[in-house]
Formats: sequence, C-alpha cells, structure tokens
Amino acid sequence: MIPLDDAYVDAAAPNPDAIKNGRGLVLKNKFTAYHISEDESILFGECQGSGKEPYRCSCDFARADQPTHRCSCPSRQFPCKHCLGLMYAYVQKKAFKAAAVPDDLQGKREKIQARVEKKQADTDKPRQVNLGALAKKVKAQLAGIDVLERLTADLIRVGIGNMNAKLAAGMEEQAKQLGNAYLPGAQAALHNYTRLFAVDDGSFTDQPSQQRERIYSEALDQLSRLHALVKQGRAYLQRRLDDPELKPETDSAIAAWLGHAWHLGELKDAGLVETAAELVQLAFNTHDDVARKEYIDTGVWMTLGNGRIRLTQNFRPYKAVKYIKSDDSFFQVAQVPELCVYPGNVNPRVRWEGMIPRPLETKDIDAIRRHGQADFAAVVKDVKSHLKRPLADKQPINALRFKQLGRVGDTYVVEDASGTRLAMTDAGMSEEPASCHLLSLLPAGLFDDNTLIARFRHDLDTRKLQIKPLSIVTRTAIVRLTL
Amino acid sequence: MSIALLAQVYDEARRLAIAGSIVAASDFRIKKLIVPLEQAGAKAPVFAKVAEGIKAVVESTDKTSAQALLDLATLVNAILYTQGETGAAGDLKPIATTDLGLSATQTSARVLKPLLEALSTTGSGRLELVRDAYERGAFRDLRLIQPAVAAIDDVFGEIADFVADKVLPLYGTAILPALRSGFDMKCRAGHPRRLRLMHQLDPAGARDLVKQSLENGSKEVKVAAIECLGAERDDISYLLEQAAAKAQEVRQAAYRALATIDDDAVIAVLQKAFAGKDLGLAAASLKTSRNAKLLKFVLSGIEDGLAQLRKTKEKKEISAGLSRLMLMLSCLEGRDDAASEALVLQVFADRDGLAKVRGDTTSGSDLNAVVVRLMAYGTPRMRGTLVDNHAALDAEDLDECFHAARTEVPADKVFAIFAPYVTAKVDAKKKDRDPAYAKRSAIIEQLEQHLYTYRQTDALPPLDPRWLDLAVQVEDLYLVGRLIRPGHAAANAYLSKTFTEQFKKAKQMYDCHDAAAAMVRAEHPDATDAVIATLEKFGDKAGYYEYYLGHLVAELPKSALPRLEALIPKLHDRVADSLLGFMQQLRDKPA
Repeated sequence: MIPLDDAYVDAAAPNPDAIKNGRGLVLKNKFTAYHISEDESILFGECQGSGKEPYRCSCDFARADQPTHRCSCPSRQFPCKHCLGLMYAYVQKKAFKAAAVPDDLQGKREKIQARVEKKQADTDKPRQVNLGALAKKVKAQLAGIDVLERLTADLIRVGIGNMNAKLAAGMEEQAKQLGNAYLPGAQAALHNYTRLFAVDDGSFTDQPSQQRERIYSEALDQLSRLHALVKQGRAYLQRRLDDPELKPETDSAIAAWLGHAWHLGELKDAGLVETAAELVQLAFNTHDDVARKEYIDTGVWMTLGNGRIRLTQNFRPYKAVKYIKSDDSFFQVAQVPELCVYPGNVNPRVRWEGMIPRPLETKDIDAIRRHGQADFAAVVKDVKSHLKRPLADKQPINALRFKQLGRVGDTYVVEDASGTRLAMTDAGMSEEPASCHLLSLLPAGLFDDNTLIARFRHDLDTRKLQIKPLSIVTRTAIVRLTL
Repeated sequence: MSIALLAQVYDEARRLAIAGSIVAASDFRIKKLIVPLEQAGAKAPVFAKVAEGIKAVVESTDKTSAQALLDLATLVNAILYTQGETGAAGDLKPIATTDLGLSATQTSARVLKPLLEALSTTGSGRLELVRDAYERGAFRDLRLIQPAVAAIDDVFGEIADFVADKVLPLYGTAILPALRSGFDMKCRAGHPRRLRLMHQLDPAGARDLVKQSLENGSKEVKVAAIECLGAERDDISYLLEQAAAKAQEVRQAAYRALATIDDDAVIAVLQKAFAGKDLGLAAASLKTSRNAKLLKFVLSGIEDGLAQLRKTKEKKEISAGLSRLMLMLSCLEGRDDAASEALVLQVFADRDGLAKVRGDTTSGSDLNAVVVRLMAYGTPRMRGTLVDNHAALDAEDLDECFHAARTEVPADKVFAIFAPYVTAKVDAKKKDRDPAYAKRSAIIEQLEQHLYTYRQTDALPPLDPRWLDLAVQVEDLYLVGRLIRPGHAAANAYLSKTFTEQFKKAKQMYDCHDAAAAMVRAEHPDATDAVIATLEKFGDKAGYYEYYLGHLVAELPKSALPRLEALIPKLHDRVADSLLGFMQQLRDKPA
C-alpha cells in the first residue's frame, strides 16, 4: 500500500498551479487508465493531453524515500501535473487495476536500480581525480585570488566614502573574472560588498550621505572579510597545489567560500555523514539574494539525536526559478537514512537524498527542549569566539532554554536561570520577517521556562550582541514567529 | 581590557577606510593611540599587536597602505566581536500581552508568502486573495499582523478599506502601538483610516490624537477626527469650530456630527447652515436631527420657500428656489412627526398647482417627484395617501407608489390595484410615449427589481402568488424567471415550451440561459436535462457564457453530478475548467 494523502501530494507539487491542474485532470476524467503494480509499489496510467496519443505517466515508490515520477509529456516541471493527477486519483480512491508493469517502464525501473547500485559501487570506489586538471584549476583560482586581492586593495585605497555608482557597477563587471577563475564564492562575497551601495531594485545610484553612513561599518566588515578570504584562500590553494592528493578542507568552510560545490560522495568520503538521523524544522525563510542572483530557501533544523542546529538551503537561480521547486515549511519529523553535513562551524548546511516523514510527537518536542542551552553565558562565549573569525557565519542560530522572557524598558529580553540576559532586536536581520513585535501578541504562558530558537547578531555600530527570536518551543508545540 | 581604547582605534580605522588608505600614512589621530596601546600591551599582549598594526598603517606607503589598514581593521573587528555587549540592565518586567486567541501559527510558507506579497506589493487580483484569506480565517495568524497594518496604506483603496474595516479589528488593541507610530496627521491616504481605527479600538487613548488632528491635521484626517468626536461638551466646542472650517468636506463632516447633538449652540449653527449656502452640505445631516426647535425652523423655512416660489416670476429665480426647496424637503426624509406629515401632505395636495411652476432648468414636477419619494418611504398615512392617488400618478411616480403599496397594503390588494396596469392594452409601437405602456413597464420593472437578488430574502412582504400566473399569461420570460417558484404547473409548461423554442433557435450558449435558469430555480423536472443539453450543444467551443451557466450547475440537484461528470470530458478544456469549481460546490452541497 502506498502511503499517500492530499497533503503529501500537495507538498510534492512544484507550485500551486500544478496542484490545481493536477486535480483538474482527475475531475475532467482525463485519465484513461489507472494501474497499480501487483506489489503496489508503482502507480501508472494514461492521461489524455492535447495530442493524439495519451501521456504515459507513472509514480514509482520502489524507493519510498525518493519516489520517481516519469511522464511522456514535455513538461519540465517535476512531478508534472499528470503525475500529480495520478497521485490525487489514488488518494481519491479511484479504481486502480492491478496490472503488470509495462516492459518499457520495467526497463526504466531496472535501469534506475542499476544506477543506484552503480552509484553505490562508485561511492565505494576511490574517486579518480585528474591531477593535471586539478592543478590547472587551482592555478587559475590562485590567479583569481590575486585579482580579488587587487580589487580589495583598490577599494580600500579609494575609500569606502568615495565609492560611487559608477565604481560599484565597474567593480561588479570585474567580479565576473572571479567567476571565470572558478571562484564563485569569492565572486558572491565581492557582490555582497558592492550590493551595499545598490538600491532596493538592485541598481546603483548615488545615495545621500546619511544613508551612506549607515552602511560604512558593514562595508568595512565586508572588506575585512574579503581580505581574510584572500589570505586564507591563497594559503589553502597553495597547499592544494603543493600536494595534489590533498582533499578539500573539511574542518573549515574555506572550500565553500571559494565556491567548491560539495558532492554528497565527497562528504561521505570525508566521514561527514550521520546515519538514521531525525530532524525537526524549527524555522524557515525564503529570501532573494541579489548578490547571488537567486532565491534561497533556508530551513533551520535540529537533529533530535545530538541537538545540533543545521540549515538546509535550496538555491533557485532567477533563470531557473520556474523549474526548481521551492522548499516549504515542514511540520513533521524528517527521518533521514543518510544525513550529509557540509563543513562549517555553528550551523553547517545539511543535505539528504531521501527522507520519510513521520508525525511530530511530544517526545520529539521534549528532545528539542532538552537540547536548548540553559547557560546563556556559555552560549555567548561560544558565539563570540565563533564571530571573531572573519569568515564565520555572522548570524548563528542557537536554541536557548530560558527561565523568563520579559521586557526592560522598550527592549524584549530573555533571561536564563542564573539571571544572564540577552536583548532582542530585529535590526539587521532582514532575511526573515520581523518577529519581536509578535511577542506582545503571544499568550503570557509562553514566556516562562521554554526554549527559544534565536539568531545572534553583533551590531558593529552599537557593539551589541543581540538576538532575534525565530520560534518558541513550548511543551506541546513549536510556535513559529517567522515563516 | 580597555574597550574604549579599542573602540577608538576602530573608529579611526573606520574613518581612514572611508577616506581611503592613501591618506592613512602619518595620520596623527591614529598615531597618537600607539603609546596608550603599547602601555596597555604590557598587561594584555593583544593591545601591543594592535599598536603594531597602527604603526604599519602610519608607516605605510601608497602600495602597502591598503594591506596595512585591512590588517588593522580585521584585527580590531575580530577583537570587538568578542566584546559585544549583551544583556540589558534594569528590572525585568512581564510583557504586557494581548492574547488574541489566535491558535497555532502553523500556516506553511507556501500559503503565507502569497498573502504577504498581496499585502505588500501592487498589482491586480490581490483584493480577491485578501478577501478569500479573511473568509478562511487565515488572518488569525500572528505573522500577518504587521503586513496587515502596513496594508492600511495600500495604493488600492479598496484593499486598504477592507483591511481597516475587517482585518485589523481582529487584532484588537495589540496593534495600537503600530498604528500610532505610523500615524502622520499631515498626510492623507491611510492616515485617516489609522485615526478611525485607533479611535474604534481605544476611544480614550486616541482622544489626544483626535484633538491634535482637528487642529493640525490634513483635510482628510480632520474629517476622520470629526467622526471620532462625541456629544460631550468638550467635543461640541471642537465641532462648532470645525463647522466654520474653510474646507467643504470638513464642514460637511462637522454638520454630520453636530446633527446628532441636542444643544442650543449646535442648533443655531445648523439653522444657519439650513438658511444659508451650506444647505447642500448640511441637508443629509439635518434629516437625522430630532430637535424640535430645528424641525420647527425647517418646516417654517419650507413654508416660506413655497410662499416665495408662488410670488416669483423670474425663471432663473424659480429654478434656484425649486432647487433649495428640494434640498429643504429632503430634510424631512424619515420623519414621522405630525407637523412634517401634514406639510408633506399639504405639498402633495397642491401638486397640480406646483406642476405648473416652471423655471429655466427645473420645474414644479421635479419638486413633486421629491415629494412622492418622501411619501413612498414616509409614514403610513403618507403611503396610504399615495396609494389612494395611484390613478393620478404618471409612470415615473407609479413605481414609487407600487413600493409604498407593498409596504402599506395587503398583498392581494396590491395585486388588485396594480395587476390591471400589467394587463392593460398598450401600444407597443409607441412604447414609452404611450402612458399605459410606460406604466406597465414601471410595474414590471418594480417586480423584477424587487426580486433581482432572488436568493436573498426580500425585505418587503411577499407578493401575491397570482403575479406568477400573470407573468405566464403575458408570456414575459424574464418576469417568470424572477417570480418563479417550484411546483407551478402552468409556469413549468411555459418554461418547457420556451426552452424548447429557444434551444432550437439558439446560436450561442447565452440564448438558452434565461429559460434554463428559470427552470433550475423552478426545480423543474427537466432542469438538469436543459442545462446538460445546452452544455452538450455549445460546450465544445470556449466562449464567455459558460461562467453564467456554471452558476446554474451549482444550483442543480445533486443527482445531476454523475451526468455532469460524464459530460465534462466531452467539453472544451476551458469550458470544463470553468465548470469544475461549480461542480465542487454542488458536490459539497448538503444532501
């Protein structure tokens, strides 16, 4: 029996239109055949489209954590409306006849099985690296680092205050060289700097000096970051050039900063895999990253076993936004057979290939609450020692077990059992919607002895380390304050 | 650790970074920090390191200045990151919460995001989304509060009004701080809405803002502020002041508020408005006042006006007098006192005389029409008098008379009086030039209008059932459709016949619509057949009318579903798409 329900199919759809169209096909009786295999592992059917021949679609649940949707239609959306329609029909208990899987479909299933086996075998085999090509790439990257150094030096020599629209646009143009030098991460870091001087619509116009004053501290921090990237990047690349057998570094995020796209296999080779992990999403956000020219869906997850907070990131470049399914808030527990963890410090990125959902239970919430850190002084110490690294994620997320949540003057404050306090703010953390103002709308019972999921940020101008509340984990629920 | 010293270094490094590292060499302001840093370095080596960094900057050349300044900035930044101030000194007080009773905030991002975008962007289709979300209770989510508050300034006024009237009151006083902080009394757009809402949520708390707005607000904000005032002594003085405002809108709003107050000073101002140029602005307000002194003044004003009219010979003056009299008479609307009634009846009695009065743009007939309308919605005696005089009325007044009769006279008597107008012999060629034709049209129009929204309960007493017999008799399909009720054999037979004829001749879907619609409302045994036959005949091509037929689909009996489902695959895709929603409504209909 395939465990399907409306919510599952809705979640599988790439966009709301696909849901509507998929349901419409069932209502319009466009399916001319509904079939299910004898072992109930695959649904397949035929759906009349605009052409003479019906589309043959199938939803293969042989791998329950990674169903395969196939369709003969030309749509680039996966699953297409026909596959969605087929699943809705199954949910609506339409008469699916048991039938033998057609040969062509069986062939594809076998191929995919073979591919999985081959992948497994490939994973087990040591990866062949073309050392010559790698050395060539590293040399190009080193040349790119030189360009980045020159650009950074130019920027500081000219002065942040003398940055104008023309210069910023010119710098963006030069940043393209970094992309050509296999340094997309460094390119994005440079874009992050120039974007400070752009207006909301992404264009460069000279801003009034008052507006400028607000970005100077952030601009200097970005330049320090580029400077550190040059230094650390060069040292790292030099080490790789000297020792071609050296693997990408896994105890820091420098490889990702330079734009290394980690393969899951590499992460597995490096031992960055947790098996049978269970994760609960604590918060979610979708934001438009103008520097990277893509939308980024970020999920904030806690691994129930060890309480670590990790991030899932789904990148949807502007150009391909139509074809990449956006992530959504997730309210169940994700059971992940193999959780790959990217190199990083406080909140590393995670990814998985297959996942089976299960309902969230009280014991899961208890586990999240247990993992909340009760000693704020220790958390602050950790956060500060993390933030001092120039290439660190500047807005780490932690779970805080608080004694009381209250107000000092106009500031919302969270306090631990020993009286250590952290002040809350929304300032400077615009990726998620503002959340502090929501506290005054919550039931008062939530303010004692619960766990707060919070994002830290050090404000360079006020020199304050403050937090933004993302969610409150009570005994019975996760109350989301953002998305 | 001397944070102040480090902060100073940071500020200097920041200053140099803003100015450009080429000016950093030998900078005396940063240079003078070296000595204290070296002294501090004896205790904490990190200060010595910073001092070295500064030395490198001041001794740098054009080529090395950038490197040196970046090294220094990176170092100081890293140290300052470890010195971030946390906490907040002072008494920790409980958060004053407003428990909105909003349940879980578990709406998924995919549902929430479009709504957030609808509230914060521009473009078409947003009102529908917002309205739909309101009806589904989606706004009972904490995370939508701030965007909803911001939507009070939406460029599309209807969204802003909807949000202010329906959505924001859901959140109660919790949104007051947000409303207050965003309020600018000098502006227009969302700011009057803000003031009204603040007053609605917390009248005492908004009092100050209301007073300030009356003095310094924009015209629109002033109007809103006037609406927020009451009948207290303090309020009255503000209102009296606003009744002399320069802007017409403000004066009009002040009159509106003053008309509800029984006070001598107020009455004097209203009398002045009645007698002066502001009659047009104040008339709608004056009718709501129940002050006896004011009423006496109004009645004597009307009598004087009538007397003056009779004396006037100049056509222009007659017109002006008639216009003023019409406005004055409108002040009697909705009044049930004996003096007003007597005056209205007296003017009605003199209608033939008044009809002879002619100005250059208006005539006494216009005045008579105003009086007839007053009577149609007036006291029982006025309505009774109007009905008694039905034979003397022209077609235009007859429809008001019909309305009055429906409220005043039993249904069978209404039928007895007005049915002859429908069956009267008319000259169809002359149309409205034939008085009998015009009167017949007026009654039919009234019958149709009153039942236009046939799904809603009519506020008037039910019509005599014989009207349907009459509609069938005169073979008026549209009227039959409006008056139809289930189980009327003659109507059903007429509809069957009409549908068959129309179906044969029909060139498009809409040609069969009226007959099919009437059959559906009549719960005609062949209604499903009629709708399906229409769809079968015209549904293979996409048009514009399937939407209208779709509404009928939702009204069919549930037993029609299997036939409709079987039909759907045969229809054009667009026609099928437009019917799916209606079929779902039919499916969801209680058995």
